[in-house]
Amino acid sequence: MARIRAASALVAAGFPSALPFSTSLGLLGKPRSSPWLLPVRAPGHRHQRGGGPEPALAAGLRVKIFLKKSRLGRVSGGCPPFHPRSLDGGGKVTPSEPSLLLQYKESGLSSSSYELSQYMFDSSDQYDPASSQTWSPIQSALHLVGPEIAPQKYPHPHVPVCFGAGGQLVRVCPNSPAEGQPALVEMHSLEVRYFLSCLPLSCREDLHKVDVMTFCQRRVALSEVETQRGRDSALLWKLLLLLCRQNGAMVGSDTAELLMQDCKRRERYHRQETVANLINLTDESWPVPGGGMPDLLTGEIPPCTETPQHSVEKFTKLLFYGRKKEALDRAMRSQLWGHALFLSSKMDLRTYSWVLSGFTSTLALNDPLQTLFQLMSGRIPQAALCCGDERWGDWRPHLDVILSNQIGDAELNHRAIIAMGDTLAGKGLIEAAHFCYLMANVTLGCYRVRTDRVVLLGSSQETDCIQRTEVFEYCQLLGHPKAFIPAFQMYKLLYASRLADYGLPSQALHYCEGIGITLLAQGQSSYPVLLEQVIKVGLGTSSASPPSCWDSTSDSSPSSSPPHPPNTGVRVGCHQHILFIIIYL
Amino acid sequence: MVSVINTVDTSHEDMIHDAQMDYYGTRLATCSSDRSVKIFDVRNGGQILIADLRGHEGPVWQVAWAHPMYGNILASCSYDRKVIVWKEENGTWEKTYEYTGHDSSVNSVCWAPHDYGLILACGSSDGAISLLSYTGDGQWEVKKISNAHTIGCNAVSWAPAVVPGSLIDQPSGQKPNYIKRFASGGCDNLVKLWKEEDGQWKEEQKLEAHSDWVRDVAWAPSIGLPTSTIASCSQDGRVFIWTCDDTSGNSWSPKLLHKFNDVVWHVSWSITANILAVSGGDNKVTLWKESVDGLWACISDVNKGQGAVSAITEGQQNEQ
Repeated sequence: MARIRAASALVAAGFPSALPFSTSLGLLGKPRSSPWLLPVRAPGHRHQRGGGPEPALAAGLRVKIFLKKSRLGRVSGGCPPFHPRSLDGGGKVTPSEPSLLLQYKESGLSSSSYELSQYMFDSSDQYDPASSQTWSPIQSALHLVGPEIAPQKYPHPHVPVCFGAGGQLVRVCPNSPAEGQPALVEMHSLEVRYFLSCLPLSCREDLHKVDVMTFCQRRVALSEVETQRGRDSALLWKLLLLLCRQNGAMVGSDTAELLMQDCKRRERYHRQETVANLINLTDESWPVPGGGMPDLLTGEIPPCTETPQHSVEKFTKLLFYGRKKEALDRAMRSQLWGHALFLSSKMDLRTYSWVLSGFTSTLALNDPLQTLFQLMSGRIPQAALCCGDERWGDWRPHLDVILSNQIGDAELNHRAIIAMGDTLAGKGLIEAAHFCYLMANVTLGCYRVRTDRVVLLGSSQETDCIQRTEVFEYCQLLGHPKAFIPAFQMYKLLYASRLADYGLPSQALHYCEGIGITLLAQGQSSYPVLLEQVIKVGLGTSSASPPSCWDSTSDSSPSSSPPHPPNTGVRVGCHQHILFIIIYL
Repeated sequence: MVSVINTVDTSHEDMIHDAQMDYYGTRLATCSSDRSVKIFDVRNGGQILIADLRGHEGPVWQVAWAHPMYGNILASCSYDRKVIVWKEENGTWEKTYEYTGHDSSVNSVCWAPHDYGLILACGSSDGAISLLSYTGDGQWEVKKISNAHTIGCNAVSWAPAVVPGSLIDQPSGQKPNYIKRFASGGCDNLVKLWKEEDGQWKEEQKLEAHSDWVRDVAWAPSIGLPTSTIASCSQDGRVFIWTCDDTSGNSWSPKLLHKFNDVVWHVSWSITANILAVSGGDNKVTLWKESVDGLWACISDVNKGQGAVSAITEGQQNEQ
């Protein structure tokens, strides 16, 4: 060992040839205190790839097993062969016996085969035979003392990659200069093409209402009409178009027209035949139409088919005898609804309700008329809880009927629409749900808050959603210049950051300015964190020289006081585009 | 599309192990097995060598730029067990600090967010992680986490200085109470999260999913949304995305981004964490983006010299 220590100084000075030994593992010993472990290599040693002898194993246990069984012949080199200069090569050396390491590698005992492979004697590798003479195996000097030599972090050429400011990507070419390939680094610019067509509206200069409407029209045209989702998406864009045209005002009847416009397939609402499916709103059982109930007076069972005139006669006859209940019963079974309703409306409320439910039971469950009647009767319509289902049919007529006939309890109407939205959302028809929520004037919130129903309009790619919401915000601004959607500003910032990342820094910057101005209009201290992040993103897109505020808080001389994080105080963004000053405590 | 705008011939004499752009994207630092660190001015498509820094005695594995508010500072770490901090003074680059406290190769260096001061984390093959803090007057304070990872530590990455969820909660304008955190990946197949408490560093979480050495970890930048995200890649060919939705940072769940056929060496987030770049043993770089429903999709394949490669995006398909 003394020999080793003596040689260490020489090694440190760059003369590894002074090193007296090598082992099949390369240098061993006590790395913690041995300076000779310094991976210094004098000229004359060629960089070896792969099979070269690099002291890489760090797991002491593996090393132990290996050494006990080692029959390896001489493996040249002890220092990690990372020397850059290429050399005139030595001759090839053929291994004398199959390497045990090779066996270990192939057996899969080691998890990191890279490390093991570095010990393998590969006949294709060239090395300087002169160097091999400097190393002579000393197996007796081996003793293992725990984790030894560090493995090379990267044994082969690889591709380091990182992002730079302004949408740049840095990529290192996996070249090996030692073999004559140039050491190149590529700088890429990321400009995802689709983004250019999806710029946020506020980025555009002199945005006019017509531009927004054209934008919406284009989106409608691009939506696929084959699927339900596509149709709903187009509908949402049409709504935004309508809103824009009306300067943000939402009138129920106009939107109803929009809804019905789309309903090309007029459904026929077939009455449900089975009594059991009918909604029984009263306790009494309904007379089965055409059922064989014998006439108590005459004892005869009325035939199933009857002329209306005959029915009226029967009805009148019963009333001659004051048998109103039976008359009603007869009228209902004979479909004389006018007569039945007239009579029952003048009787008690209970009878009237009974006749009414009898009437509505003749309608299909999913008939929009049912929805209207139920709503007008003071209940959340069944449609609000069942729509969206394929069997239930199109949701649109139901919403239409609610919107166009908003009389009476406004609160009930509101709740009915929201319930419908919730049901649609529950079935995954997000665009349809959002349409409903917009009708109900639900405020846009944020994802984290569970009670917030809508965050961004629509459910497609996030950029699309942000654009839809942007248009909505624009429409609101048309109606009320002070309109503001707090949670949405956050997503706008997210969008701005994406623009920056995708190589559109000036658009990102412009967008940040817009957000900043909107936030400032709300009061400087309302959204401090958001404002701070807007500045960060905005300044991050800057390609100009650093803002002067940093120069004032930092000091380049090492003898100065320790640099401290910038205190909250005055932050000045003095980029050529940003001119706002934010002061907050 | 990804297009090449500049190719820098660094004239390194051996493999390049890292290339990092500075904060403004005007300078490029590279390091190599030839033991040197080089700095180039890459403005406007040019490549002017500014500095050729010598001082390491082994392959240099990684370089890291400090935040420009502290001046032009670059850190480098090497197989020679040293960490060197270089600084530009009066137009020339010089060594300003050399740390030799590790017993083995230092594999990774990463500067903390500038809000915390000038702090450098270093991960080494001796299993320890050192934290070097500049205290002024050329003095640096050292805190060491010994046995952070058995066998060795391969990568370190700091958490952003943003309180998760603060963008939504909008706390009052007082200075936020930051908790310093960073992630490390090691040869024990683990990703560990570390937290500073009362001036001491403690292991906060152990993230287990990989079946082989963790080669790189990257904590995603944040604008204050509630979710924290970490990417990790390993010898086992897998890349995991770890997310934590609660602000206390306790429950992390992994999502497998992809299983590659070879080791994955690097993962790197874009400046605003919208894109993840992954580079593997097949020497291919792929870019990944998360969609609205939480699925990760490959948006591009960046290969050498190929310039424009079609990006697979929904938007593009809609347009056609």
